[in-house]
Formats: sequence, C-alpha cells, structure tokens
Amino acid sequence: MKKDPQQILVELHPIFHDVFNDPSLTIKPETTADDIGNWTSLTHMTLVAEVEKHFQCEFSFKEVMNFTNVGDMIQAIQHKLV
Amino acid sequence: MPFNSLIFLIFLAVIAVLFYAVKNASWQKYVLLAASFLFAFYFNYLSGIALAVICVANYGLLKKMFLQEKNRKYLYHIGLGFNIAILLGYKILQDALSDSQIGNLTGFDNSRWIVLGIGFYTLQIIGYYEEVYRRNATFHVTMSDFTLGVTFFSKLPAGPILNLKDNRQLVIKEPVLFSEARFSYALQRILLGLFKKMALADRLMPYVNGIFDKHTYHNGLMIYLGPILFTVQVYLDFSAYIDIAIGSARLFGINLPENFRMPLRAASIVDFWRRWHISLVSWLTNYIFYPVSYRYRKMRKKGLAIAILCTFIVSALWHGIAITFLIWAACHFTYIIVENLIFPKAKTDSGRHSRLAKIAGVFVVWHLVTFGNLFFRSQSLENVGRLFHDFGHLPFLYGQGLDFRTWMINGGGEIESEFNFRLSFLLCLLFLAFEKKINEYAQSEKYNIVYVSLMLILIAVFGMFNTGERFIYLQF
Repeated sequence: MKKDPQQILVELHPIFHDVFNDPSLTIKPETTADDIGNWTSLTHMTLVAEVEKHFQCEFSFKEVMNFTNVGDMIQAIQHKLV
Repeated sequence: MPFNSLIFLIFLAVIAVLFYAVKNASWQKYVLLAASFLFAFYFNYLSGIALAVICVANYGLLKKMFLQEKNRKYLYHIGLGFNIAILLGYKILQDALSDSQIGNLTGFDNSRWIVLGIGFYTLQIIGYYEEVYRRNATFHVTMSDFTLGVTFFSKLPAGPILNLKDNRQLVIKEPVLFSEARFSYALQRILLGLFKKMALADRLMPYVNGIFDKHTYHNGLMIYLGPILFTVQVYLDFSAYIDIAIGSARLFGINLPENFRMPLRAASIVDFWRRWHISLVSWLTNYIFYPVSYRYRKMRKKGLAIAILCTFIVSALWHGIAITFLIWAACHFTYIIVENLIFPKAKTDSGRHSRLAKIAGVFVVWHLVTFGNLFFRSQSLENVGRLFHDFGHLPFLYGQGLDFRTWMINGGGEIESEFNFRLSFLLCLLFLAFEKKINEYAQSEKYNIVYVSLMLILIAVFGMFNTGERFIYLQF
C-alpha cells in the first residue's frame, strides 16, 4: 500500500522512541545519526530490523549502508511500498 | 626511524625542503613516494620489499576488478584471500618466531622480522576491495596515487587506516605551496606528540613493565595501579604517534583523519569505542559488524550479539594470535552485551545524565577497560594468574604496598625512583585534566609562541631522551 512521506514519518516516530529509548524524540527527514546520541552502529541495525518489520519490507545491504538521514530511509520505504 | 628520534626530525626536514623546492605536483608526489620507500627500507629490507610487492599486486587486481564486469567476484576473492593470507601468515610467523608480544617493548632486537605497518596497510587494502566490490567507490586512481595512499611514511608504521575516500586526500593535483598556517599546525601537533611520548608515556613505561614483567617485587596497590597505568601509557603512546603522523602529513598539505577523541573521558563502553582507535573501529564496523548484523538482523538481539562477537574476534586476531588477546576481546564483548543488550536503559547517555553520573560512568569505564588491558598487556595467562595472586595475597596498604625495587630506567635508588614515579603520575594526571585545552592549541593553525616554548621546555625537562623507544602499536 502506497504511503506519503509524512505518513511514513509519523509511523517512524514510535519505532524511533522504542529503539532509542527516548519517548520525547522528534525526528525530521533531515535528522541524522549525529542528532541522536544513541544512534550508533548497534542501534542502527535494530532500527532497520524494526522498520522492516513494521512496514513489512526488506532493505538491501547497500540501502542500509547508504542511509545518511531519516529522509533516505523514508524514501527507501516509499519505494518498497509501491 | 622512530618518530621520537633525531634522525626522523632531520628526515622530515629534508623531505619538506625537497618537497617545497620542486614546486611541481607530480614531482612533489614522487618526493613523498621516494621518502616513504626510503622510510620502509631504512626500517628493514623486508618492509620495503613487502610494501612494493603488495602495492603492485593489489593495484593490478583492484584495477581489473573495477574495470571488468565478468570476473569481479573471482578477482574479489583472490584479492581478499591474498591479503588475509599475508596478514594471518605474518601474525602466525611473528607468534612462532619471537617474543614479539607486547611485553618486549624495548629496542629493535626482533626488528629484522617485523614488516613495518603490514597489519595496518593490509587492512586498508582489504577495505578497498570491499568498497570497490560493493560499488561504493570508484577506483580512478593511478598506480602512484594508490601506492602513496598505502605507503605514505607518516601513516605507514601504525595508521590511521584509510578508506578509499581518505586515499584521495593523498592525491596531489596542484603544487602544494608552503604555508605558514600549515607549518604552525604541523609544528604544534608534532610537539604535542613528542611531549606525550617522551615526557608522559615513556616515563610510565618502566613502572608498567616493572609491574607486569617483574611482578614478584610488587603487591596490592601497585598491581592495582599497573593496568591503570598501562591504559594511560598505551593511550598516550599511540595517540602521540598519531599526533606526529597527522602533524607530519599536514606539513605536505595532507589531512589524515583523527584516530582518537579523548577516549579516557568516555562514559560508556560504546562511547569508548567511538573515541578509541577510530580508524580500526570504523574498519571493523563497516566490514565485519555491519555485514554480519545485517545478515542476522531478524534474530534481533541474538543477531547483534553474533555480529559483536565476530567483530571482537577479528579485532583480537588482528592484534595477535594469543589467548590473552582473545580474553581481552571477550571482556569487551561482555561489556557491550551487558551495556547495550541486557541493560540498555541503564546505559549512560551523554545527553541525559547528570555530571555526577557521567563522572561515575567514566570511573566505571576506566576500570572495565583497565581490566581488559590486564590481559591485553600480559604475555601469558600464567602472568595474569600471578598478578591476581600477588594482588590478593599481599598487603594493600600504601606504605607496604608501594615498592619501588623495580626495573628502573635511570638507575638510582628507591627515593629517586619514588620521586620519579610521583612526578610521572602527576604529569599524566595534569595532562589528562587539561587535555582538551592542550589539544586546541596543538590543533591550531595559528602559531602560539607560548605553547611552543612551553612544550619545548617540558620536553627538555621531563622528556626521556633515549634511542627512541618503540611505539607500542608498531608491533601490530
């Protein structure tokens, strides 16, 4: 099912809250790992797995490695949901 | 040619004069290439020959892999196999041939069999294979640019380990003209490195060696202090080397990446690994942790644990084929698992916790890292066992615990030794307390006569002027 970027962003919020253990976290497409203290290589793969589970999609290794910000992730999800 | 020797400083000055005299980008590159091979051959013939063979073979394979679609996978496996075989073969040979473990740090007795920097540049080249194979990077580099990226003398002995993007930093396209700002940065950074090595790390060395290698003379408090002092020594020693490597490179307009971000101020283990030996950790993360954790990501925490375990096993093997390195890796594996997978909510988040909690975090991390370093530094499990025994069975009280009948570098009696120890301890504490500020001066492009004079005085007064003690990480 197709979703617009804003809707994906809204759905990503609880996943980020859970993975980064911070319910007050607000994310934007420009948000990068540097903006979130706990976004490390360890939490990155947990985040990927949780996002895949929620949106029922699968990212390639190259996609996972090339996520530079939340916007890249949203874009990749959008492509998978078409 | 140790970085803290007069001959290196003369070598650096002569190369700089030649480099700026030629005033042509190609010639400047060839000056640096010639200097790098001279540097390797000066260390020993084996290092120079290995460097030439490895560069030629890998450049050919990487270029073919980049250009050919058909045999890419085949060439990738050949390239990886070739470099892994060299690296592992070298580590096994080192282990078999000598007492080359971390305990034997003095002199260059076994240097005939040490291939300078091989552990660092083979990892760097393996990274290139991964990047080109995954098509994350192009390989439009000439043979000379590739060779300079691998052999550049200031990073040759112990990194930092570059990736393909960093390698482009070493491509000289335009003639590099002398700049006062660059010279000031280089001078101030090199002086910081010399100060850290000669006035701090080398002053700690006799005590650390005494406690670890002549343990029968020590008891309680000194044995507790031993691994702590080693943690400080290894940090100061390795980061001093990096300061000199980065400072020297900047003299030629080359920006090498940083390798440390004050790791002894880390308030969690993950934070520590983000600040310690950054180029190796980044290599391990990109080429071991991410592929393994991606593969097992659906297993959630178990998948992450497998990836962390694989990463630390590779890290241990890279440091050397020894059970002590494996136990060191097991310690850090356990710390990360407990901190991140079992109690993730208790993890120190630098953005959220109070100053007191951060100080407590730093204290705990110091002790955890130090405990791991007890194995990292010890030559055998037997040594570790004896240290534990002496720690537990002898008095812990200060008066009885501090015994300076230790291996001393300067000779002299117990009073001198005790004074030297306290002075060294105080110098290191002062440096660590003001490290951030000192780094700011060292990393400034503005010449600061007070900083330069102070560093020169401190080196002259407190520096250990010997034949150029070997840097600990040279053996890896």
